[in-house]
Amino acid sequence: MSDHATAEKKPHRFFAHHFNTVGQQAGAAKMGMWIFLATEVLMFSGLFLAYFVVRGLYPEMVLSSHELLDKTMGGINTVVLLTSSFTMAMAVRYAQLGDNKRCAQQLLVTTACAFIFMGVKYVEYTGKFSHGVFPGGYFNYDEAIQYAHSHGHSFRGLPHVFFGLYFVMTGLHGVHVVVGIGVILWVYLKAQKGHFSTDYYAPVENVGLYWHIVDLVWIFLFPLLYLVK
Amino acid sequence: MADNKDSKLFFGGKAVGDFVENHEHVSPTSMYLKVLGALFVLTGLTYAVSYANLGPASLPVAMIVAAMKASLVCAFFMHLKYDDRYHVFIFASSLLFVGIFFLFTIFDLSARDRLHEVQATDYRRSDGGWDDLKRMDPTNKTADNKPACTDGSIPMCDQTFAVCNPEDHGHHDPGTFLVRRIENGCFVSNMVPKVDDKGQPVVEDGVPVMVDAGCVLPSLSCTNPHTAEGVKAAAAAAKPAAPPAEGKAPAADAKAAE
Repeated sequence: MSDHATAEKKPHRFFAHHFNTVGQQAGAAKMGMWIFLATEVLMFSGLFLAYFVVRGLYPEMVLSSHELLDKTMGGINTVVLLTSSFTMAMAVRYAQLGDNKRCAQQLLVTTACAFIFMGVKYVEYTGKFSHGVFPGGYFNYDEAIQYAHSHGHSFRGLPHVFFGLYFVMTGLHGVHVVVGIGVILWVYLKAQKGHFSTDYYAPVENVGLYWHIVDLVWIFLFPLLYLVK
Repeated sequence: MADNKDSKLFFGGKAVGDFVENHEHVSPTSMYLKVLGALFVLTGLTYAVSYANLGPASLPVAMIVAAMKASLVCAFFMHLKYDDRYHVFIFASSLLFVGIFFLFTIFDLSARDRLHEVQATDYRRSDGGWDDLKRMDPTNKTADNKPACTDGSIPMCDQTFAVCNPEDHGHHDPGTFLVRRIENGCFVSNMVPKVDDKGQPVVEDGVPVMVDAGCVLPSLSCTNPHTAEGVKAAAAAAKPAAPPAEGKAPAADAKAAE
């Protein structure tokens, strides 16, 4: 039967009565999160496959179009996102140790990184829009060809197909970053209220898992869209 | 931990003594810093490699580096290395289905060319571009007497020439349906059903006989429909001069003789 040494402990205030142990409650939440992450992987895989198909059919078009993307901007965003993943992992660590104050600090840094990422994306998107490089049917060939020539590039094939993919892939990823900012601020507020303890940190951990999958998608988007020749 | 049969508390399939039981691994800060360092190094590597022209190897190299980064994030930041194996199973199963999804699509794509061959559908993909039109030099010809760009490369509109050239017709069975197109979607050669004097389709062995209606787009007028220039060209092409109908000429002569 139960050990008397630990029998005095009380469950955390968020412990639901239908769970046997706090570990079981956290495990159930985490399993749900992992199933959600699996669906995220499947959703993005469709876009990645579209990219590989278009690239396989029209390699010249993809390679001539991607020259217009700024590698340095993409690189800065990669570093920013990796750093935010690190601070998120640290936030989870502090939550595991029951240090709400440090956890909140790390979450703030993570949010700041997310805003920097969206800022760089804003600069990139508006830079493209101002030269007629719009998604799909809004692509303005007259302006875009002129823009490419002014940068010493020339398009081959139909670049609006590549930019359609670019905007949809980075756009969907950007939507995930915005949602991430929202959920990170939610756990930040919880940390501010001192809700987390060594027994209860599932929200930070699951938000962390979500944030890492956002990072994971970018890890593949960056070389495919910006770097690969 | 209790192993008593009377235990009412279970965690991970094992009887436990207390409801506060939680088996989580807390990684040290130094480990997270090492992982971040490794991620930065790999990012720098993939960035540097993109400037070295690796040719066809660049995609596999970039993907291998990305997979290494992804593994580090999954194993350490996402705690999969220390976590319940069931979470690894969920994640791996999503990757399995992504693999099936990619593999079968690639099978389909790689079989397409064979399918087009069997259907006698001539599906052409040009690696040329609209920019080529501007670089076109009508006086410059390639070795096989096709128009070339000022820099000697073969322009996209060469495709127009190639299929408009009557010599090209002998390569295909005239009884099969033949669609020719280039990647911009403009049809440069148009196969239409052959009609007899009464305007009825000619059928042989149950298959309509197709004839080449000739160049839909005259050579060198293949203009990008997305540009202002292209819109004008398309408007001009919409009202072409009617070609002389050779088939009806003898009939008209006969009528005149009567």
